[in-house]
Amino acid sequence: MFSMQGICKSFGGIEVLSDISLTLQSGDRIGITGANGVGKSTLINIATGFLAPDHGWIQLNDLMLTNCPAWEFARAGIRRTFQSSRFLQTATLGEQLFLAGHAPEYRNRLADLLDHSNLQSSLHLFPDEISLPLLRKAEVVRGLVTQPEILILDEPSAGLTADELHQFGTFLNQQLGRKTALVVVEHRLDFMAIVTDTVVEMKLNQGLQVRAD
Amino acid sequence: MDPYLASVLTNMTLIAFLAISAYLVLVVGEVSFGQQAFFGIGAYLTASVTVLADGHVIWALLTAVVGGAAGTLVLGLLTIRLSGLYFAISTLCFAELLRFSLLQTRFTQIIDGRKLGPDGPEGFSNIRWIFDNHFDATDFLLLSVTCLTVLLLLLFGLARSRLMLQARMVGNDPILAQSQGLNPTHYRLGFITLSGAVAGFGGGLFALFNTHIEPAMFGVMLGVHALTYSIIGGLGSPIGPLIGVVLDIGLLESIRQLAAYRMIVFGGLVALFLVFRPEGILSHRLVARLKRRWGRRHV
Repeated sequence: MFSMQGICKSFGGIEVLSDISLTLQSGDRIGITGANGVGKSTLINIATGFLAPDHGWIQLNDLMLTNCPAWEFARAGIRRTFQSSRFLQTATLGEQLFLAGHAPEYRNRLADLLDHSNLQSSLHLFPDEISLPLLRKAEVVRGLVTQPEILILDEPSAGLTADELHQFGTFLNQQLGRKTALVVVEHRLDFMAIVTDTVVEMKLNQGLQVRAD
Repeated sequence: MDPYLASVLTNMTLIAFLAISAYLVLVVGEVSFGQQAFFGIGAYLTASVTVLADGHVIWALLTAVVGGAAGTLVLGLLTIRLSGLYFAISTLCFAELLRFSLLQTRFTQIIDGRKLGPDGPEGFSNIRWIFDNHFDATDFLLLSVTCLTVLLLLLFGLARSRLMLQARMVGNDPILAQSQGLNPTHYRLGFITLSGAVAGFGGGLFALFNTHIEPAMFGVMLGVHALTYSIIGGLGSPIGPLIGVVLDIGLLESIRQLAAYRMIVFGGLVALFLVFRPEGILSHRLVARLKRRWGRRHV
């Protein structure tokens, strides 16, 4: 379904990614871990179109996405979250979630996600009035409401306590559905154990083949 | 109505078009120091159509709208890869370029024994539409207030729309917008072009009202003021820029004792706002609270 092959990326002559490949099938749940600076964030940015690879190609179903802008990745069904939850600070959470799920075919899905997320009581609040665990959930709701092919989470554990992280993992498991593939980039292996089937470790300057077993 | 009062109010209404035009660019996260040029284009086009081509005023204003929009679209396309400081500087250069072009534009004709048309730095005189149609100060005030009201109603519709929320997302956080599948370029070009249309229309009315226009009227300071109206009034509502206009022109320029100190007082006011309330009077937050209080739907 999704495939990126032979991805290389250098910044100013320093090679960050060399020959990375990632293949995902519908419903795969893959965790990527690794020390700081091995290029996990770069990998996410390339897989979501925010950075263009120097070499290699990216394909989703029959669509070639190599060198497409990030918004085309998102429209094609590759959604992501950010390390620090990213919301428009000048609009309420409700406005933003209803914006993401405005299309008629997503309305039921949104209502369903909201019912299971205890976000209902925070919809009228601005993002900076909402606690971090709820914002993390809200980001997942925003990503899942469009029923994406792939959801990529960038360090969802950042700032969460063990309990909150566990709850977040349970919520994610319940709501992910069978179709969407999940990629989690994360240090916390306890969280990976809850939400992923396969965990791979990235190492500096080593090629990597990621696929679900 | 007292003609002086009517003319002050009309002036405020006309500048409001320019302020709203600057506001529309701010919505998509850019700062334009060049909206006055598109106001000027609108003014010159309206004058040309009514005076030189003897066209109907509707056509004249329509030409101004199209001309303003075309001007900003060209600017938007030229600066498609620029943002922030670089975009702001480009708008300033583009506007000055247009103003200098107007300074060089001489296209006068003798009609009924009068020299008419743009005459370089002398400008464009004898725009006699309001005299020919027997408009007095109050009539013209009514006309311009009506036009502004229609524009505001359209903008209120826009402000409640998904499109506006998406544009604000593009303006505040282009990375977030892209991650939601929005193409920032489309929104930026769309809003910048819209801003030119609004400025052009306002400029058209300005030419009809003033009966004489010249390039010096469309200098940088006009654009800077237009921009600061939104800083003071806030971006939370299309009413925001109007508050700025009322404060600056309504209070400062029109009260004669204060007029001499206008620049000092107004500049100080802007500085105070930037320090103590950078989001302006009508911030998004305040507008949301007011809506909540008045029992509108939360989302």
